[in-house]
Amino acid sequence: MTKIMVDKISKTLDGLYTLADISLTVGENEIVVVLGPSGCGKSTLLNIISGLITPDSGTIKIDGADYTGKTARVSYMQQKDLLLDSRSILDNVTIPLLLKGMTKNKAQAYARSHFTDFGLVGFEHYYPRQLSGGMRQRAALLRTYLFASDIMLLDEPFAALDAITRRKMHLWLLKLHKHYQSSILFVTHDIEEALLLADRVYILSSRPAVIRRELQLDQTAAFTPDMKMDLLAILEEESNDHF
Amino acid sequence: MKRSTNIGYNLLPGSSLLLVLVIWEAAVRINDIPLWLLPAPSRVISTIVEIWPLLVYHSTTTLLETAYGFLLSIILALLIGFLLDYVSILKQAVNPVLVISQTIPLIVLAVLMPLWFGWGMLPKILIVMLVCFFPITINLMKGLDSSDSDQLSLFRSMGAGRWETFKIVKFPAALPAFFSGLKISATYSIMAAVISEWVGAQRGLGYFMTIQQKSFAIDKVLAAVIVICVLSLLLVKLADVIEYVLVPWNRRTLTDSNN
Ligand SMILES: Nc1ncnc2c1ncn2[C@@H]1O[C@H](COP(=O)(O)OP(=O)(O)OP(=O)(O)O)[C@@H](O)[C@H]1O
Ligand SMILES: [Mg+2]
Repeated sequence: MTKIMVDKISKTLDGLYTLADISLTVGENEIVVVLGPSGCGKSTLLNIISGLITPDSGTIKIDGADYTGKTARVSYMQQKDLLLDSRSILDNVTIPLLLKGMTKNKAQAYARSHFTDFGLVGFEHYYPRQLSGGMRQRAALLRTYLFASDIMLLDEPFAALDAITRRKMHLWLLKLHKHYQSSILFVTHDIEEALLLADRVYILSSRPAVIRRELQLDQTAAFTPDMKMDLLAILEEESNDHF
Repeated sequence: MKRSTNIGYNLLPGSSLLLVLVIWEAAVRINDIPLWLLPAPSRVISTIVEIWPLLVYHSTTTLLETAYGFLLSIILALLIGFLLDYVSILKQAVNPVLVISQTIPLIVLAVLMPLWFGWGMLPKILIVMLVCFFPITINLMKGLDSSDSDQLSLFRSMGAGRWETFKIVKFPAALPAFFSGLKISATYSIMAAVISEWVGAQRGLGYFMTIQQKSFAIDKVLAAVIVICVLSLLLVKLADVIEYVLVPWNRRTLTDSNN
């Protein structure tokens, strides 16, 4: 079943033709990775799917219903963790539950039940600035998950982390995905990350972004070096325009 | 505003102050400067002890005026801050008025106020407000503007309304700036009340100083000055303590590990 359907989206930002006729889908429990060169419009695409901005043309359908320009349906984790300095980790991650009208006690109890899986146990009452980068990202991810667990848009969530922490987070995310079951649209410009996480990959061109390639990955089969070279070549070609 | 654990840094301000006092004391004694011209620090201190009840009597009035003016400034600043944040077009209209209010010579207003509002507390409270509300308001507005636009769009993506976003994101983010404004105001607030009393009053440290100055009791004037300094410092300290309690996430102990 299709959870997200992006249908022929185009967008011009401040006179910059950014997205040109993008169509893609995300199925149930699928991790779809959008891979594209820096500045091609990946974040813009997620902004449109989340309803923060409206496309010039095209539609967004979530579970078959039109959600073009409508917020508050899917959860969206942006490039920065955007945790509030003024609140403890527990108070940060419960915000989406409180916004939905849950009582404080219920929200905290429900959030706490996820702290083990998200590797945050013992840090409930720490402030964000007291946490490491990896932890902050996991806290942001938990907040994202608690807002809407069925569909999550993740915009380069691990880009700011060091290589080792990033790799740990990848494995952790895959493990998490196995028993939390959600549809994830994951944006990155890192090929390794895409190949490691994705069930399916879309490769975007440089601006104005069109879909250059769609790739079905079979997690059981080894990814051949040839395929990787192929991907690298496409990305490199698309990035050239920027130098 | 760093609270240093280093003992040397804590002693330094105290010892430089002590040095000034010692030089002052020595200069007065060696040159035999008459009391009506410049009393020695030791004399000022003994005067403080001597006229203590009188100082307390006048201080209460000054403190009361300051407290009213200060609290009203905070309320006014919060109202203006909220309003201008909500209707941002108003900012351009109100900003010049705020700035112009600060260019009026304080002493002129202090002289004119009693003509309009009499010789009681009201003109003093208004002068304190005029001095205090500006730093608080400006800093609060700057703080409200400082919140991350991505943070705001995150809350929009979660369907939060304007009030919720204000309450959860903008206002807490503005608190550190608000408190730095508060501390600037606290520094000047008592002085503003004193200036206003100097021009005309029936009670208060400013009034007390004009009387003593006319009879060349310089030691008593300086005694009042010291009381003013101490009270101003205590007020700043109070603002510090309130900030410590209300803005726990910004405590220096938290940031120390990052610096
Ligand atoms: N609000 C905006 N107004 C105008 N132009 C914008 C706006 N946001 C982004 N852009 C421009 O649109 C283009 C696409 O931006 P976007 O952030 O979607 O790219 P991205 O693929 O997410 O880049 P990155 O990999 O650096 O995150 C960029 O050239 C950017 O400068
Ligand atoms: Mg981006």
